[in-house]
Amino acid sequence: MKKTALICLIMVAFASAAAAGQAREIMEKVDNRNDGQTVIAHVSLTTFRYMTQNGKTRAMEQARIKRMTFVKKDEGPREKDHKSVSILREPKSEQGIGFLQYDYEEVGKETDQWMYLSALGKVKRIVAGNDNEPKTGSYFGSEFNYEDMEAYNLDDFTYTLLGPETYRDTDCWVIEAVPVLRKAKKSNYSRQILWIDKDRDMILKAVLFNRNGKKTKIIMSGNIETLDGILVPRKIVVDNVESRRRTVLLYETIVLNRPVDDEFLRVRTLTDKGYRERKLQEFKDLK
Amino acid sequence: MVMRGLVCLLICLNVVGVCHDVSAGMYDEEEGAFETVSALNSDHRFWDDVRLTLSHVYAYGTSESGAIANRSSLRYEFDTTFFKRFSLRLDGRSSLYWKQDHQAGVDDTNALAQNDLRECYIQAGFDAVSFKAGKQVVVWGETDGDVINDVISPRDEREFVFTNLEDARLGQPMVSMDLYSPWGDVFVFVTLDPKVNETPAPGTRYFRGPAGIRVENEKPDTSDQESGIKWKKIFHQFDLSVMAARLRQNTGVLVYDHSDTYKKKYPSYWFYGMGARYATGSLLFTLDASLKRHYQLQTVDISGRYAGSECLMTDNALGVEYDAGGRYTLNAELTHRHIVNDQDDLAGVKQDTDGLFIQYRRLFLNDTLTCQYRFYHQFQEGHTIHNGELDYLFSDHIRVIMDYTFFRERNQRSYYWTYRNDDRISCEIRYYF
Repeated sequence: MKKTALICLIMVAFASAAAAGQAREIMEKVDNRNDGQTVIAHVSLTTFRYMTQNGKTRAMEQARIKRMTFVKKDEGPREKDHKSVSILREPKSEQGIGFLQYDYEEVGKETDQWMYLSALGKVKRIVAGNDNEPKTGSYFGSEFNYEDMEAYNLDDFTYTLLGPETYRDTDCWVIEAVPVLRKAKKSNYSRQILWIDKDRDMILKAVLFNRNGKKTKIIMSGNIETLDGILVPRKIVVDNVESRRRTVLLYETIVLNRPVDDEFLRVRTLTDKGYRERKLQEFKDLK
Repeated sequence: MVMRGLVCLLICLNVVGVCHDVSAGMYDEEEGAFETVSALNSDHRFWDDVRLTLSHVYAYGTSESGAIANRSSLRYEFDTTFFKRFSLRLDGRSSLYWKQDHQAGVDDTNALAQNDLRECYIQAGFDAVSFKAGKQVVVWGETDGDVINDVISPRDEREFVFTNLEDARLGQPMVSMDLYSPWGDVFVFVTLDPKVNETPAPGTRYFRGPAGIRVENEKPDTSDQESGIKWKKIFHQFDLSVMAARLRQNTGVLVYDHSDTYKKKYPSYWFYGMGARYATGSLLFTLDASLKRHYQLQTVDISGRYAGSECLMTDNALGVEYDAGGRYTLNAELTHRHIVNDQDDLAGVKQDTDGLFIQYRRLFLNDTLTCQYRFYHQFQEGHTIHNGELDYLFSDHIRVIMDYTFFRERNQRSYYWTYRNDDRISCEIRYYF
């Protein structure tokens, strides 16, 4: 009896290890999927509180809409360092506010962030936050927080394959990602369940659990198009199931892999509108 | 009545202007959330370059009760590019001061109109360099509590301390150049007709000029031109800037001229400054340090008349800002001014002055409500200002700002003693379109 139990335990352990190995392999494919070295886009963020009645979801308030220009470039030997700039175009009350961010793959190297406050005419450096506490601030007042917008680092999580599932008529792998201790200390989430498109190596849905283990957000990718041979979700929806608020991120226009010089991803782009618009004119054929 | 009418107008405009047609699918359940994205036009439109802000401010004195401010204004900002390398920026405001407003009270009129052009310049931009010519605002310095390195643009002090810093800076005609290089960014400017701080006019609420004397403003001459240079570089988590300039004082000094007449002079001085920022974890350290040579301070001569005394002084500020993971920010700054000259030369002026500035800021309601508390204490004078502010973004177009400021003065000899009863509460409604 004891021997049978031991064999079962060993088999379960091997199966778990194999599932973890397979899950990691799937996630590596997701991580290595070509998503373009540069992104130049006009993005809208629509946020509203909602209620569900008779199976239909209805907005409870006037949606708040922010429109921005977003430029991102991957850098570094593995193209895992990221530089990005976001400039708000709407609403008028926040027009011209800009955000410049440098993310680094190197563990322990803090993110550099600057914010341009157009009303004050001043660029402020923003702190990256403590390693031991999560950053809760929202991204331009939306349901995305800064952690949701950060570059995904594969080594920040351990993965378990939960099995196959059909989601939105697509064959998916369902994987659980649990942050390693280093990440867990500063993450808003205790675990994530991910639905990965088997054929396209793309995360279609993520369910995020807060630090108390309660389901807090669902992030979904949709309107997937192929642009210059690269798969792009044109619409990303984040549903905060706790606050019953939803944000829809929409790539209104987007181009990939256009050359963006390093000079553009500097503080000057935040403050010098003439320079910024001239450079953006070079990408006038946004589609 | 005017206030009520404006509120109705804002609400009407909001109904018309804010009803965006949100694409179908956004309100649906998960399965229906990805219906076809509506075609959206990203072409550049004229109105993208324009921002108009209609606002009304009402302020009420809480110590000496009564209306202080009752004014409406339209701010117009236009920022566009043309001929590929050129851009034009305009920023002006037309204001109407209604009868209860202390600015209109001087002339005892029903409404006093005023137009201000804050910025108006043309920019020519190239890859590594850009030139600007026209009326510009220049912001220097890293700290917010006191004027250490932010000495280029004069300020609007007609409302004493009650004008937000973002509105207080005034433009002045200048030619400037920005040069961008891997060794740092360089900014150079020349101002042919430097402007000075705008101070409260006689008869307005915050005017505190000496009684029984006539004051004439000295006109600038060609020797009062301003010029300066700033170098700035970013080193990963550390930003460093170094500045030097020949400037005309933004704050005037009264100097006896003849009989009962004084001249208000704005002498030129040399300015050398350094600013730094360092971010680590949740902390942001800021430093501003400056040396001002031949700077004149208001003193009294042996006959008891106002005079200006030239001095060498250092102005410094050290700040630390704590960001509690996005929940709130707390900023504390210590400022110190030291006058190197002998005390004997500077009657009525303290050789060392220290200040403490604290700012606490917290966002609520999905970042639509900002609560802010600011505190400033000047140690030697025993002078304290408390300010609380609620800033609510009612919609994408409407912002409501409520503000309460009160003074605690302990020293009867302090300049601010005469303002001890000027506590006030104010409400501002802004409509952006």
